[in-house]
Amino acid sequence: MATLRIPVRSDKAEVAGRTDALRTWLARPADILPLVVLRVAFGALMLWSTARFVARDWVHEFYIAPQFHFTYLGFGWVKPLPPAGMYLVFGLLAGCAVAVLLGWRYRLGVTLFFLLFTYVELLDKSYYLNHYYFISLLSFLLIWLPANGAWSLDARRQPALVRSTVPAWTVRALQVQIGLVYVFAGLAKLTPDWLIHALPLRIWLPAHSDFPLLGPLFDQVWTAYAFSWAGALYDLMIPFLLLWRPTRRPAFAAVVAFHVTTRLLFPIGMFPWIMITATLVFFTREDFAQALRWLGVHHFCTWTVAPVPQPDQGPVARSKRGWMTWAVVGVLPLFFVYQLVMPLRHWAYPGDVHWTEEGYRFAWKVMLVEKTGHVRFLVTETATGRKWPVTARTELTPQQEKQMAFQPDMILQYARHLAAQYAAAGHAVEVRAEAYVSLNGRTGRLLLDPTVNLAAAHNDLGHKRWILP
Amino acid sequence: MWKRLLCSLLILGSLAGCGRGAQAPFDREAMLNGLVQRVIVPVHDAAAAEAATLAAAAHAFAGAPTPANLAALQEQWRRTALAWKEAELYAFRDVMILHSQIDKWPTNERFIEGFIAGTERLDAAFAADVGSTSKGLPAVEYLIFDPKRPPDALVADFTAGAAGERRRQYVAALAQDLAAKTAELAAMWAGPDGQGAAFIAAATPGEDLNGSISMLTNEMIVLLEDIAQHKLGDPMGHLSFGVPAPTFVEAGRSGASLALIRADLQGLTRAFHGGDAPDDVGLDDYLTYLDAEYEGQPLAAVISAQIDAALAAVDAVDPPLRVAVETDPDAVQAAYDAIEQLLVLVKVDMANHLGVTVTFSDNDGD
Repeated sequence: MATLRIPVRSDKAEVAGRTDALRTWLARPADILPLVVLRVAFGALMLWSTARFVARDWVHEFYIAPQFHFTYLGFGWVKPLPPAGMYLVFGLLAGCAVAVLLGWRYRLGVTLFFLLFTYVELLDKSYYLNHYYFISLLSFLLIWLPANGAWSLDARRQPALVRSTVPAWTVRALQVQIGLVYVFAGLAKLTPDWLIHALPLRIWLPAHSDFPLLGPLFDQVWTAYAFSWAGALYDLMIPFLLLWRPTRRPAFAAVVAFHVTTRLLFPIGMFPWIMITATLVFFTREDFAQALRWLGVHHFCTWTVAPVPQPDQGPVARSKRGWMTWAVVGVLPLFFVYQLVMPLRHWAYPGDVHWTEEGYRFAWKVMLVEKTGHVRFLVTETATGRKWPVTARTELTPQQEKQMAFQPDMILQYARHLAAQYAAAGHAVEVRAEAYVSLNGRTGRLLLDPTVNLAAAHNDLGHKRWILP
Repeated sequence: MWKRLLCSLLILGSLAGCGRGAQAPFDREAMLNGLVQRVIVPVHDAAAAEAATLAAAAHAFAGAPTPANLAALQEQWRRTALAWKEAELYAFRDVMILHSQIDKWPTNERFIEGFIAGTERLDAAFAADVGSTSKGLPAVEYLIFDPKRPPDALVADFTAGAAGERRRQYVAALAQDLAAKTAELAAMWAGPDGQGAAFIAAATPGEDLNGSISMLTNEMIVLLEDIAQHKLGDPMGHLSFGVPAPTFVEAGRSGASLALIRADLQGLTRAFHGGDAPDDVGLDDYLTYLDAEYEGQPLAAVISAQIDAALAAVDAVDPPLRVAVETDPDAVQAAYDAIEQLLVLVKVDMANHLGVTVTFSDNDGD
């Protein structure tokens, strides 16, 4: 009991001391290099990514051609612009990426990039990808960081912006951001399907049995187990291995090997390049110098690595911190708390999140399911009792239809849309859905209660009781 | 190639030295090659041969428009359409245009009558240029069948003065174009560097978006959806607030609708089994190799049984379909249900075990 009677004042003093220590630790000057490397690489990747999106005609295919869009709850007001407007958005995105890359009006460029990119993502959840979400988060975070303090046109224009050091929290924030993605992706893999049944890799790998050299291994079940366990361990450990100096370089080699492998085996587009690039923020100046020397780029090193951090810039930076103070005390704590909550929210819903998909998005659940579905809407005219089925194939694109077929909230949205369409034509109808879904090789079965009239069901964040267990 | 090798080297270290399982690998390329040689090339050749005979029959009828020649032409149209439907499944991207030139349904009757009433020369060159909705099997069917009128009256359309002559010219030109297009398609599949070779070469799903197994599965799904939604569903009233709409049947004039659906399903059966002989290797064997199960049963056997059930349900409908949708809706409903059930097995269960969905779309997965 005696230990509990420590005087309050000393408690407070201790807390105050710790807070001071934390503040000092967060504010102490750190090399700006990782920040500017990330800025330049991010700008370049986003430029490439935007150009690729346009070149593949996805602007038209995803946002102009479809007659119906699956908007996010609360964002029904987000609508695609007319075709010229959509292309203008992508043109601006490319322009913003260049601005970020060159550090030209950086703050404006990255803010606009975040807004436009997030706008495009909010248009239709059929195209939701974890790495698009990651880009939204990363570009938001970059708004608050002084990543134009070096290697930038801004710094050339306004010498006052030039800095060789930044408060340590700016680099730490990026590391935390990347760490959150990996650790949550790793936690999401700690499921019986992934660890005990090696699913879905067991389904996906045999398709690559004619891969040169390694192909035959993909036909072996143990290979799927090896990949599953290695993948889970990789995700859970990699941020820490990157943080710790002695393991940093092997860890980066693992990052490259892991992401290149996934890129070769699965159609996951830009994701591997984005993650490989993002992990550069764990590198120090010496790491970069050594890496460049290893690549044989000696003359490049001289100006890349030459500036020595000047600790005396600290007080100057602190004296005019303005928006950065706001960021560190107001915005970013909320930003990271939000990110801690989102991946865990699925625990608030009953049932298996992989089946119900309640809390599945924005949770770093990456490549966890092989899911296929088929949904048929059964329409009943209330006045006559006549019934007829409707398939969504006519109105939706194959991509939209495929995604809707196993996601209850999308089925609900489309059922309500159908009811509204019939109502507009003067026919009051009830709409039920017969949705068969197969998850990770299990026999297809009904996802939803086919007796429930979805036209009258609510679309909110609450648990959807009509999802069958 | 280099990137595959790079990947191999990168992960070889972590995998070397581990033991090997007992199962012999499944040769997907051999399966696809067998499918091309035993099924795809022969069905396209058969369709082309029937279409050539159709062109000859149309030519004979145009030369001597008699009821007997019309009957022979009609019979040959049926044979051609039935042969074609076994190939309808293989509407892959590179041959899609030819498919619609051969069989685009519904046909545009107004355009066809406009051409006949017009002054342009109605020869093979004209037929080659004209849009898909005014030619192919459905256009020929429109010209030579009319269930509402006796054959003599129909023959009279082809003999009545200048308009009759233009009608004869058009039907002969269309049949000739159909023979040319089916022959072109058959040659595309059979050639050493043609569609067949490209199909086999695209064997790896995930490597690019057109992995052959994914393409094949997708086309099976599209065909079954087309049968359920359009060939049966639309006439059953699914577009018309539940009220049957017989005019929506495919090939309603010839009354061949049900027989054509049957041929579609037979084409699908052969694609699934990889041929007609029991030991031909096909998708069914691949599913078995992958241990794909449906409620404890082998999935391949379940699908096979459901194809048989769907065929039986189609056979149980009294033709023609345009009449049956009103007089025997329960039988049509049973056929529709059986095909929907087959669709679920292919689209949900088979696609899941094959893991082909990751390559269905152009968008990146993650």
